Order: sequence, then C-alpha cells, then structure tokens
Amino acid sequence: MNYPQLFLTTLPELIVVLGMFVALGFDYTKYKELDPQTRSNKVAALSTIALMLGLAGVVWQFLQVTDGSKTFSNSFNGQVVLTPLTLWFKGLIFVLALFVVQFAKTDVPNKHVSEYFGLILLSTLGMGFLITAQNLIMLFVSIELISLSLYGLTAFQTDKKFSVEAGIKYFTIGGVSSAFLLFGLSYLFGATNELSFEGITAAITSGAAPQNYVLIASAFLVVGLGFKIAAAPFHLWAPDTYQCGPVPVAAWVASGSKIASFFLLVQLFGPVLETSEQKETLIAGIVLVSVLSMVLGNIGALRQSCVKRLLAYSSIAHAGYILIGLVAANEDGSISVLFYAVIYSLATLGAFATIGIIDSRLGREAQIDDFNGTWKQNPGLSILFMIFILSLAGIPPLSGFFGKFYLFMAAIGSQPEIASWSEGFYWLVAVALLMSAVSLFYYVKVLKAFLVSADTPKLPSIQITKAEGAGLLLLAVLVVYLGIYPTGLVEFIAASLG
Amino acid sequence: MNAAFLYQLLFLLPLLTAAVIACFLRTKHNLAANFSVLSGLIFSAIALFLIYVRPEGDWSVTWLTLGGSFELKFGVLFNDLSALMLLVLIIVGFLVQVFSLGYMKDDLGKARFFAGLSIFMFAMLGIVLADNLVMIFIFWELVGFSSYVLINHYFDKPSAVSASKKAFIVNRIGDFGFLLGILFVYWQFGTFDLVELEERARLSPGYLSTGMALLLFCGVIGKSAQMPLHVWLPDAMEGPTPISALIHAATMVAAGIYFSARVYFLMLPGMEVIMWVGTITAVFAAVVAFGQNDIKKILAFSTLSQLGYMVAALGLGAASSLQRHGEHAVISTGAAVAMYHLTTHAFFKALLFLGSGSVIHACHHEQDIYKMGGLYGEMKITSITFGIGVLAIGGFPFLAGFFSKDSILHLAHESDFNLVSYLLFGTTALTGLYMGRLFVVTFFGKPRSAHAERAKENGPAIVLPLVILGILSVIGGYEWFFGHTFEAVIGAIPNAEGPFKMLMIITGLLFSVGGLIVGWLVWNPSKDSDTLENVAPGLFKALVAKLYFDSIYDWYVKKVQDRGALILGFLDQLFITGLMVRGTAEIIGLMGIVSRSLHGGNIGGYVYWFAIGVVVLGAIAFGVL
Repeated sequence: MNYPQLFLTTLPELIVVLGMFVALGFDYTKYKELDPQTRSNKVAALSTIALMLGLAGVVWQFLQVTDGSKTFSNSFNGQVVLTPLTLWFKGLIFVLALFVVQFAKTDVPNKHVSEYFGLILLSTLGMGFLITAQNLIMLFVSIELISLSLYGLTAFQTDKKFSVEAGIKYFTIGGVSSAFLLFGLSYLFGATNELSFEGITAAITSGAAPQNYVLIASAFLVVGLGFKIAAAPFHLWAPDTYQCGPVPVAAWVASGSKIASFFLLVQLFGPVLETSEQKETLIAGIVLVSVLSMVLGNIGALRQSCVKRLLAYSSIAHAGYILIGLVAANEDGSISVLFYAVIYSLATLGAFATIGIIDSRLGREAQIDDFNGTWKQNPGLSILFMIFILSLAGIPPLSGFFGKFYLFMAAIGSQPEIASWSEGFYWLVAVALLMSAVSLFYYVKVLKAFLVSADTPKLPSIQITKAEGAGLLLLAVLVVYLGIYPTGLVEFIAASLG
Repeated sequence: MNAAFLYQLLFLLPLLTAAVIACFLRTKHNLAANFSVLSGLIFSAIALFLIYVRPEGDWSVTWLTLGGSFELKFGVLFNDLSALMLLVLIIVGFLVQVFSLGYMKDDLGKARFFAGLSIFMFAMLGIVLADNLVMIFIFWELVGFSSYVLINHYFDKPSAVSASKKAFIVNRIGDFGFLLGILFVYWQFGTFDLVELEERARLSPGYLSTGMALLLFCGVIGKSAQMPLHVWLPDAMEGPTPISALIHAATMVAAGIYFSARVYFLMLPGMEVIMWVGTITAVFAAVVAFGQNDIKKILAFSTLSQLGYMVAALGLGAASSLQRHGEHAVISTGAAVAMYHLTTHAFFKALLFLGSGSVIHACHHEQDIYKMGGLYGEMKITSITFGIGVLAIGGFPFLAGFFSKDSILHLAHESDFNLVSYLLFGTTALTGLYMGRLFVVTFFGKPRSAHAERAKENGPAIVLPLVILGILSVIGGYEWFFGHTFEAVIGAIPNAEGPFKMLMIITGLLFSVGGLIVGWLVWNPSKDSDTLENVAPGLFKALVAKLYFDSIYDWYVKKVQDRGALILGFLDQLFITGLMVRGTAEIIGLMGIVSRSLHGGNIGGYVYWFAIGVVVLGAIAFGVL
C-alpha cells in the first residue's frame, strides 16, 4: 500500500473527517452550557470551514487530474477513482452540503447540535466516496454510510413523534433494500469473479459471465438502488421521510443522496446496458420502474395539501423521468441522466430550503393555503421559489426544461429506425410528456397560492439570514444559468464520459 | 489584444450595469446615473478600439446543441457594415446618456431610466454584432422590450402606458412574420449563420423567394415603423425625450434598415414591394407632419418619413439602372445608400430630438409649439444647433443630410420608376416646409405662454451634446469623415456627377432655405394659431387624426376582433375548459384519491408494495413477463 498516495487521494475526506470530530466535540466541551442556537451557529461555521477546505482539496485534485499529472494514477483497485468527472461531482456534493449546512443552522431539531452536523458531514463523506467508488465493496460501504447517517438525521426531531416514526420506517425499508442490494452484489461477484466495475463490465460484455446470474443480480440491484432513488414501487419511505423529518434533511436526501445514487446507476448500469446480451430484459425492467414512478409520483402529488409531501411525490416522479435517460442505453442517455441529476438536485434543494425557511418561521408544517398572498410581503423569496418550482415543472428557459429535453431526446434517439410510434421509446416519452403536463397542475397550484391569490397574506414579512439568502440566490442563479447555457456542463460531462 | 475578450466585455458591460443598478442602486439615483455614464464611456472606448483597430480573431460559442445535429451559436460577425452601425450606436448612445444627466436630473425614476438605457445598449449591441438569425431575433425582441420599458417610464400617465402597450403589440405583429421568415430561411437553407447563408444563397439562388423576403421584411415594417405598422412610433413619443432621440430616431427604429442591409441577399426578390412601402411611408408621414402641433410628434413623423427614404433606397438599389454596372458592387448599392442616410440621419435627428428636449426642459415639459415661441432670444445655442439640424434634414448643400439624400435621389433618378423618383423628390420639398414651420413657430415671434416667457438656456450637460451633434450634422456626410474604415459600405455609394449634381445643389438650397422662408411667410410666428387650420380646417383635422389609421385599427379591434374573441371565449369555456380540462382533472383527481388511499402510512403496507415490485421485476428477469 502506497500511503502517501492514499493520503493525497483521500485528502478532502480526511479534512472533513477531522472537521466532523471537532464538531462532535462541541457538545462535550465548555460550549455545552451555551444555548442550542449559539452552539448551532458555531458548529455550522466549523462545518462550513471544514467543507470549504475539503472543497479546496477537491478542486486541487481536479486541477491535478485535468493537468494529466500522475499524482493519482493508483485507484486502489477501483476503490477511489479520481477522474475529472468523479471529482466534479464530488465537488458538487460538497457544495450542496455547504448549502444544506447554511439552511440547517437556523432551526436545529434538538439540543444535540454536534451530532446533527456531524451526521450531515458523515453522509457527505459517504456520497463523495460513492461517487468515486468503482468497486463493489467500497460501493456497499459508502451506501451504508450514507443510509445510516440519513436514518439518524430523519429521526432527529425527537420531540416530534412523526419524525421518529419516519426514521424508523426509513430504517426498516432501508434495511430490506440493503439486503437486496447486498444479495445482488454478491451474485454479481459470483458471476464475474471481479470486484472492480471495470472487470465486471469486461466479464459481462465478453460473455464470460453466466448471463442469467447477471440478470438476477441486476434485478436485485434495481430493487436496492430503486430504493435509494425513491423509484416506485420502492418509494414509499420518501413521502414520510420528506414530510416528517427536519426540512434541511429532506432537502439533503432529495439532492445529494439522489445525485450520488444516479451517478452510481450510470457507472454501474451504463456499460452493461449498452453491451449486454440481456439488455432487452434489463431495459424492460427499468422501463417498468420508470413508468410506475412517473405515474404514481405525479398522481400522488395532485391531492397533497402539505407542500413537503407534494415535493416528495414530485421527487418520485422525477426519478421516473431520469430513468428514461438510463433506458436509452447510450452515451447521450448517460449524459442526460447526469445533467438532469445535477439540475434537479439544485432546484429541489432550493425549493425545500424555501419551504424550510417558511416552516421554521411559521412554527409548523406549511400547507399550500398558508402561502396565500406571500408575494405581497416577501417578493424576493417568492421569485426565488418560483424559479425553483418552474424549473422542476420544466418550463423554458429554466434548466429543468433542457434537462427533460435531453432525457427525452436521448430515449428517442436511441433507436433511430423504427416503424411506428408504439415501437422504440416514443410511447415512453409520450407518457413522460403527459405526466409532465399533469405535474404542471400541482406546481402551478403552489405558485398560484404564492403569487396570484388575493387573500391577505397569512405569513408575516420573513427575515432570512444572510447565509440563507445568499444560498437561495446562488441556487437560483445556477438554475437559470444552466437553463440559458446548458451546453457548457453537457459538453464537460460528454467529454469526461467519453 | 484578443478580440474575443473585447466582444465579451462589450456584451457584459451594459448588462452588468443594468443588473447592478436594478439590484443595488434603485434608490441611489445620482450614483446610478454616473455609474451608467461611466460604463457607457468604457463601452464606447472599447467599441472605438474594435472599429478602428479591428483586432484579430472573432468570437463564437455554441449555445445549445439539440438532438445532436442542431447547433445554436452565440457569436459575432464584425465587418465594415456592423462597424458603421456600432459607431452610430456609441456616438448617439453616449451623447444621449450625457444629455440625460441634465434632462432627467430631478426625475423620480432616474435609476430605472438609466438601467433601461443600459439594457437597451446591450440589446442593440446584440442586433449589431449577431452572426446568426436566431440571435438577431432574440435581441430584436429585447430591444422591443427595452423600448417598452422606456416608453412606459412615466407609468402614472395613462397615455404613456397605452403607448408602450401599443408599441409592443404592433411590433409583435411584425415580429410574427419576421419569425416565420427566419424559419422559412432555415427550412430552405438549413442554417441560421449569416456567412453560411450568403454562401448558400449565392450557390443556389433558386431557394430565394419573394415570400421569404417579404416575411423577413415584416420585421422591418414593425421595427422601422413602415406603413401600415407605423402607428406606434408617434405614440412612442410619450417616453422621455432622450429615449426618443436614441431609440425612436437614431438606432432602434433604424435596426430594420440595418438588418435589411445585413441580409440584403435574402431580401432581393422582394425589393420592388420594399421600395414602394418606403416611398409611400416617406410621402405619407411628411404630409401628416403638417397637422401636428406637438414638437416631438412632428419630429416623429419626420423620422417616419426619413425611414421611408432609407427603405426606399434599399429597394431602389435593386431596381436602379446602376445595377448593370456589375453584380456584386450593385447588390449592396441600395444597402450602402440606406446605411449612409441612416448614419447622417442619426446625427441630425438625434440633434433635433435632443434640441426639442432642451426646449421642453426649458419650458417645463410644455410640448405644444403654439405655446412656445420667441425662444431664440434666451436659448441661442439650442436655437442655432436646432437650425443646423433643420437645414441638414432639409438637404442644405454640403451639410450631412445633403449628401445622403442626394445619393438616394440619384438612385431613384437612375431607376426605371419615375413615379418613385418624383414622389421622393417632392417629399424633400415637404420636408423643408414642415421643418421650416416647426423651427419658425418654436423659436421666433413672441412667447405664447408663461412657460415660454421664463425659458432659460440649459446647463452644459444638455448643451454640449447639442453642439457635438451639430458639428457632426455638418461634417458627418463627407467621405473623409468616414475614412477607409467603412470602405465596404461607403465605397459602394454611387456619386452623382455633372448636371444632376448641380440640380441637387440647387434644389437642396431651394428646398431647405425656401422651406424656412415659406414657413415664415405662411406660418407667421406672430400668430397664435395654425394657418393651415384657419385656411383648410377639414384637411387639417384629417392630418391631426393622422389620416385615420388609428381609428381604423380601433374599429377593427372593437368591432371585428372583440366579437370573434367573444365567440372563441364561449367555445373555450364549453369545450376546452369544461369538457377537456375539468373532465381530465376530475378523472386524474379520482386516481389521486385512490393512490393516496393505498398509501396509508402503515409499514406493513409498504412492505407489501415492496414485495410486489420485487416479484414483478423477478418475473421480468426470468422471462415470465
């Protein structure tokens, strides 16, 4: 083992781990006498510094890798693979974690502040490792690191019965899905006798691996990972978790965890779907999950009155859209999946954060009616929220539109020569378009409450902290920017994948 | 210096200025104004460097890639033509910004005004530099937007609000055709890129068609306010006067001319129609100008008339007998002449508008020329510079307007269309006359209102731009003024020689000075009311009503369109809203209730769902399904 190499390779993570240990100490040192809000500010500041230093480390690594210097040639059998693409996404995870920390610090669910931020940092680590992992062992360990931290975070609002209940449900179903995932992974290992993705792909495409074992393994993996991305019918934890857990946690689950999982899906399934003999069967399975998610997600969202729960169902629907890019089973598909994962997580993080701010000032869970006339008292917040929601709904020129466009184009383009609309993926895209139209109904319903409703505002003028304001503004700018100029990111992903 | 970097800077400067003012300086009016002017100065300096030094390199980025093969670019095509337009934009733009410092000094919406100006500079820059049709269209709409915002500056005045709406809607009508034209071009040639288009149009001229040319010309009719979509421009005078000078006289309304010159090769099949539209607009507007008493409205109709000249010049270039001299040089003759007149017109019309602004400012926002009078005594600089503008537009020999008008009439003379030639020639006489009326009534005689009595000359911020524009109106027509920087445009202008030249000098002298003299005799400045109104009240009334175009449009909207809308509204309520939307919503809503009831929050139920999913996926994996 080359320890200096290992040190440099995991430098950002080491910084964050160090930050986490210091953060954990806050509850035990002389600071424990302070009131939770003061402690929260301090720990949040510390976490921010740790994440920023970690981010600096990632950026440094990124520059090294794009330079082509040999500092990170060793990937430790695929356990930590640093390429421009993985580093970019890891950087994004760190950035999102930075946002989440800013949104989390104003309203800490209970007095154990250090643990709250410690768990956020731990899950960040897990997501970072998941993105750089191209090895089954590392994959499973990082998924468990993410999941266990998120279970804890969901149940963190100990004074609320539902929070704890949501945590337990999340944990139970998560446990079941982990079993499926691990079973699938072990079959994959058994079939290919390889741990690294590279070796697995080679074994499958060369036909050395027994195809039906691969198929069973894949089915189990779809179940296990379907749980992570909240795809139907493995989605049932999502509405409870999003609604009842602390809002910043919901935002974190919906953004960071989603990106990491989709990145893994593309890494793991992308090459297999393109070449495997059984691709037809595999694709059929994923199409089923995709359609179920779009339909159940969008229709479930229609009648929700709680905005967080509505967003939870919308996130299920979005998982369905993203899977369309995966079934396209070509490079365009992979690009569109990654692009959509990025823009979706930015918009959804922004939307959840806005709801979180409103919830915390309202002192309870906001229903759609509570937003009536918010525009009059809080024009800035309303405009930002409008940007996030319209991007989720896929309205041009916001990034959500181009995200969906690329996904659908990839699916249609994957089978250029077809005779009728029922062949290829025209019907799948038609379903997706129909469901997008349905989704407009509930997105616009929320916006209508914000902007159009003539009622006297229920919400007082909301004071938001500088960090929250800056975070929301930056997210909105990114959402708009990636809509006006998506080509930069798309070309970067395309170049790094190819 | 890298050109690409300069182009980026050029685009970013006004945009960032507007953003900074909108975000941080909304209430800090003076800071916003100074910031905007400073940014304008840097903007102009960079632009001058680009125009005269022409650094190597160009700038183009892929903006969107859709479906693999379709690429949309955002780039710059810089040549002599765009350099000339850029020069006009920065000269008038910067002088108007300086002028506004004085004119808008105590305005309550000063910061908003300067932010709007910056947005306009950004949008106009986009039209000038764009290298493809889609980009042109986007910025075309953006100038329309900024024009809307700026006309609407005094938004507590109902007339300003309806004028801004009118400008926007009328432009949208033209732009609809324009967009269709652009799509038509793409359909035929498979590209939006101007350079590639020129190449392909040259190789396969069979793809060009009159329909394409006229659809593109729709955009020009809207933006450059040609008949029959001219109705928005006179109303647009509700905006602050500097805006009228910059946007509604010198640059934005000239964008249509510039666009036509830029894609001249696409417009060729429609040139005869274009020529007639221009000629009719020129005559019509000159006639209607006699019925206006609002100083800015008179100038607005004069702008319409001069724009008509430019459009006619575009058309004449193709129809002129000069065409026989050689294919390439002649194809751009009309465009070159139109651009030449555009340039000189920008100078003297901006001068006239800013001069009127100076008068209006001094008279406490009085705009009726019959409530002015006798201003010459107190406002010497304004009066003299205004006089230069009047002579320049009248075609007084060896002022800027003389040369450009001369070349248009020369084109008309060489063409086979004698009627056009006579009409344009006659309009010159009318131009001298109505400008004479305006000048005489405004500045001479005795003051006809209390405001006019107390009028005083304005401060340097207002007067200095007038003087500079006055000088430009004198020298702005000579070839040495342009040098060799704009050779491709200026070099293509045909020069009249011999007897025709003499004829032009004589008539120019006659019409401009004669216009003043006849104006003095007919509209005697000591009188309090309009002579034409006293002599021929019926005609005057028709002219005041702008020959009833607005009334006809109003009638159409009220009687035809509104009734059609009523029927459509009923059908919409019945079928689309009632049956389709509500019906579908109810069905989907029912499904929502069902799906919600399946999700009861019981963890046992969750596991069942999970298990069902596993079984189905397993079935697929084993080939059962």
